[in-house]
Amino acid sequence: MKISLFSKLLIGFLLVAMIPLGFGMFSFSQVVLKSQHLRVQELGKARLEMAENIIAERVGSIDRDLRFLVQRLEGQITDRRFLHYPYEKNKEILKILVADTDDWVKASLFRYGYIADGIQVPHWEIGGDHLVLFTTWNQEPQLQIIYPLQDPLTSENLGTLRAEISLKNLFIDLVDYNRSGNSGQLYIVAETGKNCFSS
Amino acid sequence: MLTAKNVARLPVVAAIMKGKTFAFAEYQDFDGQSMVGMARKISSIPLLVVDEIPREQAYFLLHKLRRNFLFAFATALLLVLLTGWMIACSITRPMDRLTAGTKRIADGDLDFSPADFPHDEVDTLADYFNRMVMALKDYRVRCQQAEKLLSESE
Repeated sequence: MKISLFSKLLIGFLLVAMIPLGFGMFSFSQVVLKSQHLRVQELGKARLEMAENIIAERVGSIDRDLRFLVQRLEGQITDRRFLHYPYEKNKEILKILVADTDDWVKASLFRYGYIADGIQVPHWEIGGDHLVLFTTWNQEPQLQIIYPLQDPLTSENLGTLRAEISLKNLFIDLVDYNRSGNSGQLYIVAETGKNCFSS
Repeated sequence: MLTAKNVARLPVVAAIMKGKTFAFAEYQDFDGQSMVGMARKISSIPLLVVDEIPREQAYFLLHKLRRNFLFAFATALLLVLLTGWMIACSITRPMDRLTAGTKRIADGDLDFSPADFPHDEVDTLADYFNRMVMALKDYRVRCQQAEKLLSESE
């Protein structure tokens, strides 16, 4: 096959010019791709951290109030007045009760329903992490927290302070997530894999 | 859209449930859309935060860059083609003219005189070509004169 000098020159010039140009563009695109992956990952991490901080801060605040209450009780586990401070301060607390070692209710405050003092409630295990449960009637996520009550002088076990916190109310701050320029969706999921909230 | 039933099937949630503290993955969601998902375990309570964003939105800058890249590459290709065509033409056009001249001279037309060549090696070649044509013309005239003298003396 006879190839003209013109074709040879044109193809030669194309090859000489396009090989480094193509290689340079490919390398640059790889660098950009990698940096974009990192950017997306870092932005995502920051968004998750923000959501985590909002939740952890609220739960931490309630936890501090309840621990303060445990210290204040100092063995007076039947005095309901002490329960009012964390209960009124934190609207997320749905239920707060003090039970003795045999799970008989000594004092309690409820936002919905009522449990009279002297009624025996189901046993909760002390220790381990807080527990996320879903109410049977409307599948609302709730956080159950339990603290042991001890006599400050004898360290004798007096019972437990139990609180149920509405996670639904806790996540209200996250509703604004999509309004802050994020086009994504934020979900809060229980460790059991159940969805608790979506922005 | 995630529901209580299918959220555990997300790769990022599955990774966290296996014990990781942070997970990042790209996957197809249950509607077949490409998504970028991230999940993180909340340290104080047994919950995890999941962030899901469509891939196209997450990498919008990349899509924009890709478009610009394609445009830049097409422009560069066009420029290279144009420059290559011009360079190839600047070499082959004078050569074509010289070839045409050579053909005419081979056919016996010695009046051909290539002119207006670029000032480069081809110009030198054309110059020598002109001198060769002049020498051939001179040789032909002298041949004709010698032939005329020979016929007169006879």
